[in-house]
Amino acid sequence: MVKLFPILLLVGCATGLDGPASEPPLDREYFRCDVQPVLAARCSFPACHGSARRPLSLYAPGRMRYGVNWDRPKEPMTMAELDMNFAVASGFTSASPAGEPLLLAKPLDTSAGGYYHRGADLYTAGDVFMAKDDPGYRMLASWIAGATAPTTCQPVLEVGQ
Amino acid sequence: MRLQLILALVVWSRAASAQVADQESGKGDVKGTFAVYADDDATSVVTSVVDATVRLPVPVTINAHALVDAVSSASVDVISAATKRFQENRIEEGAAVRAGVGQATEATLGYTHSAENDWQSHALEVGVARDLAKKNAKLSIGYGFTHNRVGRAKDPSFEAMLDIHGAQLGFAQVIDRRTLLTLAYTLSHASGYQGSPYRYVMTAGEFAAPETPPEARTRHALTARMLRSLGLATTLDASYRFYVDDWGVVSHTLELATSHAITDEITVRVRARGYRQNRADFYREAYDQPMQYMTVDRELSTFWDAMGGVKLGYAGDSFDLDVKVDGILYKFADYQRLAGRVALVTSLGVTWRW
Repeated sequence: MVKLFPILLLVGCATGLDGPASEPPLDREYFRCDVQPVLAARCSFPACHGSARRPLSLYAPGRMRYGVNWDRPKEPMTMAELDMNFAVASGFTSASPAGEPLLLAKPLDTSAGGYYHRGADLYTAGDVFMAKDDPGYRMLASWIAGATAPTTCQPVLEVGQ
Repeated sequence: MRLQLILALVVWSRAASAQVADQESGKGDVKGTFAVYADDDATSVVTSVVDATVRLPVPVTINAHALVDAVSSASVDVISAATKRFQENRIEEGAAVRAGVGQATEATLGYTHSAENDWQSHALEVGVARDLAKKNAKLSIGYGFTHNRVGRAKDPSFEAMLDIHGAQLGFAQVIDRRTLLTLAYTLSHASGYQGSPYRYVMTAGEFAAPETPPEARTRHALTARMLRSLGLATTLDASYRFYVDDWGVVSHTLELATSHAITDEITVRVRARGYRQNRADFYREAYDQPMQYMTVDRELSTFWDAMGGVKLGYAGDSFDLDVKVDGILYKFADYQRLAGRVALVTSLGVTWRW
């Protein structure tokens, strides 16, 4: 047991694996105005990410809601819903083990360099973004790259096709 | 005494199944094993192995093996990822050469390749063992390197690497006419992707992210094992393994087994094993904020397991037969999605010797 002590000491010194992650430089206003509209229009269908079963689980008007009565499904997004979508989407902006952030690589068609996405199997017309010049893809990429927006910004209507 | 030493060496090193120099030229064996693992978490694995060894006219033995694992699972991990039952095969093939260098030393070189739909690995092992004290002791040292390519099913664009270096130092000593003691220390260092591309950390309504374990891990394990003959027909086998790594996992494994020769040909073995580990420092079942490192891998949680089993063996002149049944109970202390699991492992092995 005496000889084991140096090993235990060495291991003890190597801890520090349990600290919080550094806050990613992601802008909340840009998310509200330029990212949330894309996620709502392109990703949040009930069979896709408008479901609590998905790791990337998204709230959107007319789809899955949080704290909004069932008879008012098309109410504008609440601050709580925006906060939760922001937090969930932020978790997929770090580089994946294969390189690209999953929020960009999964919805991008494999023919354009994206990763496998079951959504492309479900809807056989291809993936969410067929190319990197899709306006929706560009807005997600800009957000991850650090784009910002003023607090007075208005949600965009052009979210790609 | 030398026979007992050989018996002990079987336990701690595959390279020491017998002295190359002691084996007759042209002798060899072929063993086929068929095993089934099934648990109450909707997972089954059917394993088929063929393993053959032959001694060449020079003091060299050649070994080759091929293995197929057929896996079918709809475990809580699979269901949690919102996917259906999956079925896949893992195919492994390997070869090893063991060469005697004089009467007291032998060297081993081995290679194993393993492939499945989302994982490929190449493993190389080298080792040297030397008899000491008139074959009453044996010292061995080995090194292995494994290169893994981690993929993701249906996703050719996903590729991550994992390299593992490992070393082992072993020592076996005949204590008296009835007792052998073996000690082994293993050290390994893994660098690269050590998570699962299918697993996500999820906190309902708060955040979610792919799991992010550290990219480096250093492990230490120390094993002590004792074999003691209790009369002509009965052998006691006891071992203890202490494990620690720099992710904060510490584990203890205790195993006891006894073999009894019912007749000259038939042997029965009964064994029991207990295992206990504490969780990795960064493991949580649920995280309340994003952390630098996160995992929901239950193999990194606090858990214990207990295993008990019986093996019946027949040793004939030119062929052996063994049947084995093991039951395993797992209890996870901080993984509410699966508090426990019961598994049954059965196997049938046939060896033909010439």
